[in-house]
Amino acid sequence: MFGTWVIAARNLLRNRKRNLATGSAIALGFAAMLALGGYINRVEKYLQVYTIYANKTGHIVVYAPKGLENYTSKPKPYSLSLADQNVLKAVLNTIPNVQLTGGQFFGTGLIGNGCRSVPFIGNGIDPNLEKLLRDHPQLKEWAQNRSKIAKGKPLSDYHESLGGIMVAKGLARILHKPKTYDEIPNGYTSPIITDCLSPDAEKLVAEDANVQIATSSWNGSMSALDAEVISHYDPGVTELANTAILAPLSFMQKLFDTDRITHFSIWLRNPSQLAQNMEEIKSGLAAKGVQLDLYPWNHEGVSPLYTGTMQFLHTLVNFLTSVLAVVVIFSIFNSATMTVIERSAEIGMMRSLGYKKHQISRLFLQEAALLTLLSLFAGGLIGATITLIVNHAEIILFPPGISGGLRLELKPSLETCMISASLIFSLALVATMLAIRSHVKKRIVDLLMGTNR
Amino acid sequence: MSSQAIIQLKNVTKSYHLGQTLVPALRGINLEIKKGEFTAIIGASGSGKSTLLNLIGLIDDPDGGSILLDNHEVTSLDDDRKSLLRNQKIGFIFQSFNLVPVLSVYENVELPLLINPKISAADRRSRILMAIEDVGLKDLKSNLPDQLSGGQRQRVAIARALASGPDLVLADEPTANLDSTTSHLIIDLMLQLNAQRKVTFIFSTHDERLMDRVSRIVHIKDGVLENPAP
Repeated sequence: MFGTWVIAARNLLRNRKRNLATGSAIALGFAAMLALGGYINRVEKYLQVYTIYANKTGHIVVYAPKGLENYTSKPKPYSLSLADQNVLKAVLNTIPNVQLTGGQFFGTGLIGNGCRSVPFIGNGIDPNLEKLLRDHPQLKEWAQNRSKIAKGKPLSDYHESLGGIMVAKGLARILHKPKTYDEIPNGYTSPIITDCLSPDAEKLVAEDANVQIATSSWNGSMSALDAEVISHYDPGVTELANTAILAPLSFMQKLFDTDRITHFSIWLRNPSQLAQNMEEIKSGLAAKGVQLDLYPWNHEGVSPLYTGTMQFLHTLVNFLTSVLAVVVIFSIFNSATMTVIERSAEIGMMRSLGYKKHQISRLFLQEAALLTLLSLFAGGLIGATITLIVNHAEIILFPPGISGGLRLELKPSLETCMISASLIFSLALVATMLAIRSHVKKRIVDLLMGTNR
Repeated sequence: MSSQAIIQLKNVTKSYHLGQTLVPALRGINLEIKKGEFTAIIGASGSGKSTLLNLIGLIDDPDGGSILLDNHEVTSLDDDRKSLLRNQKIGFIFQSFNLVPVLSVYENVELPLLINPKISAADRRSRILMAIEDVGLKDLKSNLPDQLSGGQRQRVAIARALASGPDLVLADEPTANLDSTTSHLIIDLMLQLNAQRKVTFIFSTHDERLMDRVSRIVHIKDGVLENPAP
């Protein structure tokens, strides 16, 4: 007892070298797609988790109407008031999928060490929320280096009255502040530096963790606060490596002399409900007569690093996938063409026995399907081996825009594997069909004689 | 029209293009083959005997005239209908055996039955075994073609032609690749099956030594039958 699948399987053994070459092309193409897909998935997950948890954007970010576009130039009218926040919190309390929430304050100014002042980009956040986000399992899984503090302790370990802030590693270096607050001996009094050009000025600056932060408050007056560098951290992107500070929300509000916030972030338990939850929040706010702007985390204006990088990577993937697809198509087309030419007499014999054209086509498609499935299996094994080797190689990449490096890991997703396999499988069948179509249509006598008369 | 005829050709013509030249292969063929006949078509190379068999076997189309299989006009049928008729009513035996090298004797014989949905798996198996037994290859049914002699391979081809229970078996120079002793054995086998199964056999040959074994001889020369009437 045997069927046409057995014929297909036996026929694969006929031209072993050719089928091996074709199968290798398919297998290597699939393995390459898996590796590439694994890399893209890794980078995408990293950027996603970075944006949502490390950059504290949240799954949904809420601004005052037109606040996203205008709060940097006109912060006060485009920020969220306490009343806005209270209404928002009331609405969020009715949505079970909301896991974490918190208002944040984004502001810029100058940070100095007594001798030198440089610009900073500051983010104010509830210290306990900051700790929860830093310890979030997603961050530990996909961006472990972003969950670690380079030196010192998190904001939540200090009372807010201390004025403790976290400073980007690069900024700490520029400010000559290698020590964090806990490294300064109790009772140490910072000396007054009278000559910043003196040879020991830099050393004196480095002896404490004190910095001064100055800015123009939202009321238009100059504002300055003393702060203690409690930790150094890596903000994750190069543009912030030398400028970022992270401070308690109350510190930033005090600095800018306001009780308002620039934006409010919402983290979800199940991100797949994002669109639904956004609608629920919008309708909840509307019911209470409040209009606010809601953005998903991957909105271009909210996370330009994620959207820009992924656009570039997807373009790259599309290009490489097209190249691989062409290679696969031509390999299979070439192989199938040679096979049908060699087996003309056999096709003629089978047509003589009563096989219809589509039944002959189906036999060749079954061969192509078997070869492709076996090759995909082999490609999957090769891809898995490559993934294991790369993931154990501890290779650190320095992709553009990402500070501190990113460990090269391949994380192929099941979805990517299935899409790649389906794509290759479909291409193999189409290429085979194209190769055999005209041949199967030939006259039976010509097929039997192997001529093109 | 004879009700006893399995095949009738009426004024059938066929030409081939050879470059710019139109070469006539068959010129107004009229022929009737009765059911159960064992007929040899004799002619030199290029006389048109293979073309004649191809037209009878519905694997080529005539330029003119008509062909009746079992009293039904078949030249105007579409490709799928002709395929169905070939599968269920006609068996083919080729000069070069045309066995699938990766399939065993059993599997080669099974080929025409695989596409016949009316035949159950059990029926298929019994037909195959009977056909293999009829041609004397019972003990070799698991062998691959390259493990068989030329005569044995042609026996497999005969079994394959008979497995689906056709009314008509066409053999195009079935002994051309065989030695004289084996050729006689193959013709004897075909004669025996013709008698046993009442299947009509038509075969082409240019081997004059086989003439005394057949009940009817049709001579063809330059595309014209010399003795079409029985």
